[in-house]
Amino acid sequence: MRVGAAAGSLLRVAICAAAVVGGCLIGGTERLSAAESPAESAAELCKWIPAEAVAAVMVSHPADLLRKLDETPAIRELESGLRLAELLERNQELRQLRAAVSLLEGQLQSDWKTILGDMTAGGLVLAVLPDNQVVVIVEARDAEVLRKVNDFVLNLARLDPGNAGKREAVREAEYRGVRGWALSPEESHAVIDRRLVLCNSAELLRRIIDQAQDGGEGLAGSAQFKAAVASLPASDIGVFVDFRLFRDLPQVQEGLRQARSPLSVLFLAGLTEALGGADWLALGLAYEDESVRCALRSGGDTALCKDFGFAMPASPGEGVLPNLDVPGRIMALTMYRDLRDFYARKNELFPERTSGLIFFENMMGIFFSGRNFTDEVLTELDPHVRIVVARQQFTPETGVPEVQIPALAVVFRMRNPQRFGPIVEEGWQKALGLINFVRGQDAQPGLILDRMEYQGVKYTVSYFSTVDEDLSQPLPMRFNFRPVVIAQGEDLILASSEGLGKSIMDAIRASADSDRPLPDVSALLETDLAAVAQVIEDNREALIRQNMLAKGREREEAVKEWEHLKRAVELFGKSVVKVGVHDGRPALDAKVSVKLSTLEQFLPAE
Amino acid sequence: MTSHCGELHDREMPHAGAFPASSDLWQASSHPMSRRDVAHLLRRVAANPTAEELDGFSGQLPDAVFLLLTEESPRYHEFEAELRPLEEAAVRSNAANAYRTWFMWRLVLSPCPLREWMTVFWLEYFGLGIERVADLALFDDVVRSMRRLALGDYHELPAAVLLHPAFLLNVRAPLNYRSDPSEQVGAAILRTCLGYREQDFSAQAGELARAFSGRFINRGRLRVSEFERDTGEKTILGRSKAFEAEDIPRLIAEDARAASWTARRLYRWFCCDTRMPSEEFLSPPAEQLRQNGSVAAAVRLILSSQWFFSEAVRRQKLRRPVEFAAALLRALKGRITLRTVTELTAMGQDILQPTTLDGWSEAGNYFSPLALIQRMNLAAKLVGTDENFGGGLARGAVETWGDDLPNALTDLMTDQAIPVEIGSRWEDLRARYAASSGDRERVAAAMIYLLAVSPVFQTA
Repeated sequence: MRVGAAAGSLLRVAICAAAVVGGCLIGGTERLSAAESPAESAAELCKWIPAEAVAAVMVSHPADLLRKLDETPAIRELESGLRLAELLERNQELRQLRAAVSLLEGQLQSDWKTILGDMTAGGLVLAVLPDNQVVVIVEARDAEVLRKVNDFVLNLARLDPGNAGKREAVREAEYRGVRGWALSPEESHAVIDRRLVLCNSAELLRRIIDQAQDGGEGLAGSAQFKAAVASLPASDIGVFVDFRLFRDLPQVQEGLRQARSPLSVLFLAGLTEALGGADWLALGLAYEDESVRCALRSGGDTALCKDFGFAMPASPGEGVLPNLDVPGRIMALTMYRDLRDFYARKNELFPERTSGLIFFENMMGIFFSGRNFTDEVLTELDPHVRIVVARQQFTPETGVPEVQIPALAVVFRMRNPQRFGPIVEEGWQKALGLINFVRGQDAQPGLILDRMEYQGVKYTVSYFSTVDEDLSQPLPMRFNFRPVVIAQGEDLILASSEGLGKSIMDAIRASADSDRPLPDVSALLETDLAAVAQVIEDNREALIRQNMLAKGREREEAVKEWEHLKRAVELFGKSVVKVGVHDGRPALDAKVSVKLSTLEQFLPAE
Repeated sequence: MTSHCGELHDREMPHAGAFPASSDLWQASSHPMSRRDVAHLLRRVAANPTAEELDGFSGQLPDAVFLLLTEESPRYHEFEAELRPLEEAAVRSNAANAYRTWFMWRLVLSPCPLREWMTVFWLEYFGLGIERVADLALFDDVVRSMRRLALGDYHELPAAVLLHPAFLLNVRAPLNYRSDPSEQVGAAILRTCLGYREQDFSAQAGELARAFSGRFINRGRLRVSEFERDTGEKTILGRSKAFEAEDIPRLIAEDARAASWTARRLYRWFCCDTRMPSEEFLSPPAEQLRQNGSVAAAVRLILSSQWFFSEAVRRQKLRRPVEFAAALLRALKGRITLRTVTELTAMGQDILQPTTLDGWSEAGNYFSPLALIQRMNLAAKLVGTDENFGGGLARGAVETWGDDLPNALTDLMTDQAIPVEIGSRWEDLRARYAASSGDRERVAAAMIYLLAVSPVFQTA
């Protein structure tokens, strides 16, 4: 690797490393103090960014972020284990980078984290402008540290044997009293007071210098940018995207068009439309307590969201019901969806009537004995809809399916349980009868319908007979299904397995007193990948076989890959995605638990 | 030739008069095999030799190698113990594509490849197709019987297949009423087991169908209705009696014409599919079948013979897509994946579905311009790095043979000869391989591809 190019890369990599995880994984553990940082935020740096920037990534306090990561026990564990450092030693380019960093540490008589913290103490901004122009601006604690690092990099480039014989290993020029350097045609940088400006073209560097010297608000003065920054909660990293350019791209349009199927419209309820009509997008990211928080906001015309009133809580304080908590829960989704309103607007929401929808309407007509599906069926359901996916547990006594599929349940709330319960029961039995008829045509076993009772509630269950099955052998996939319909009070439970149906009955009883709506939340998705890891464990043999089939691997290799998949899933814990409303537009907040302590498992064995 | 009602149907078998002239050529070869002989033998019984087989078998007599090839070694039992649960899981899940892929594993990886390829032979012989049977459990059951008897008792084999429920499903005859016998049952037997042409079926198809009346397939099970049995006299293969289905396999096994027909198909399978010798020449293997009732003896006679190792037989067979892929994967220890098997099906050869009751298309039909492009594309995918096609073929070859790779490739794929049409390109790649260090895998992939698509590799 040529040192000239390496020096340029070094500068870029070092800056980026301050903002992301990578940097703190390499070496020492000395803490950086945010308290010593200048008070200016990264948004202030945006005054030097031309207003036509299409995207900007801002890190107001990189040192804080570094400290948070540095304080993570798992990271310390990783560092003390030194296995990652050893891994990096095996890569030639990273080895060279490490050597250069060591040299820098010697020259500045400090460790690299302190140097990096000092260099970025005032914040960092990376902006993308039209025509693939990129600029990075960092603000250091003082000008001296930048001068020293810059001198070091320039000297390194001049001493590079790869540059021997070249007239100008480092090009140097002055513009409006500011000295700038270029280590390659794609790199130009300058140090202006406490700020380092790094561009991918000399022309852009000159524009930044103009902006700095002429004054003005630049990107920071843009109304879009201001609204985006104001919309975000406190974050470690903020991202602004001027979406007006992107939303008309054919690929984006096509992606949005594909998200207009009835089910997508029902579940996403305005999110894609909000995106398609957005002037700007803002993303905030924060890391704390081994969790990544994320907030996504958009701005633009709110009129586009008018069709999605069915998913907007009708009055203040209204919102989704809390999710149901059942054993082995993988995913729970609670939504505020007025299904009657949704279906009544079908002509506007998805005007392209597909054959699937026509078939659906015909079938609903049969199941509900000719009742009007909108006004006599869906109108009986209130807007609180809950969905649960949970791991199933099988016992050798009842037989274990070859492939174990998680169970799924949908819970509706009925407006008139006494009247509507029997109607659903009748429709349910017709549907199962139809399924049995079709399976019979293919000489496949059918479902037996039965009435059972649990905690005083009678319900309908259907199941496949095991009379002809050897329960000591893995059973066919159909034995994952034992569908039930349960009307418990005002709740209507449709579940693919009887076990999940009963667990939901228990969960509803247990939460009866605390079952109050979450205000202004239109959807809440909670997942727990620990349960997914358990499902991966349950299906060990099936997944190993699938891997052997798909990749042609021998069993030992497939077993290793399966273990890797399981560990990858175990890396994540619980996550929550909340969809609410911000300034009349859907807003999304998420929190994902990332167990960095399990990262070490991904390192190759010594 | 003598026949009951006409000539054997020769859809795929052109006659060539008195070629070859003398039955003495069936005498066992007494010469130890050279590497070239071993490669020839293994191309016919296992699609291609492996490096270990070339090293291990050269210098041995063909007869001794035949015994090794048919031996059910401990390694074979280990292989079965590992693969069979995978097949059973595919059957339980009714996953036909997975089952196909495991079948391909057998063809490429089995320590007893002759048995596996003989199973393919019988599959084609009876025209049994996984889609036609449409019941994976039944299909698996009949395939297992064929594998067990692939080199076994010639008299037992027709019974194992013709009396199996899969046979009736295969010919779309699950219901066989006395009043409405399924003539396609008789037609299929006459065509597949005896080689009759349709115009020569005469009344025999109906008579055979009557023998199968009373047999009903219901939910994968055979049910025999005594009431629907036709107990009247039938004239089948020149003999008249109140024959029933159970008698038919024996009649076939004892029939000279059936033995002759089977010998012709074995000859075509192992020796040559471009020119056929006279019936007289084929009488020794036919006699082994009819008199000794041993498939293994007939196959052994063919594979050990002086004729088999003569120049007239070498490189006289064209590789169909499955043989082409299996040859490449076996030679270079490649991985068999679902996508590879799916691709072979798209190329017109579903390994578990002979195109018609007469078998797969003639090998020459797999060499149309479009088919050649498909073959080249498959070769490119197999030597590439896409994991869905196994990936790593070139990397594995470089790791195994290192500097000696060019020689190893020609040894395994072209009998050490470099076809003229690729000579200069090959030399160029060889030089690049010798000189390169960083991109050896890429050059190796180009070398493997070049040999794989060369004309000589399309022949066996």
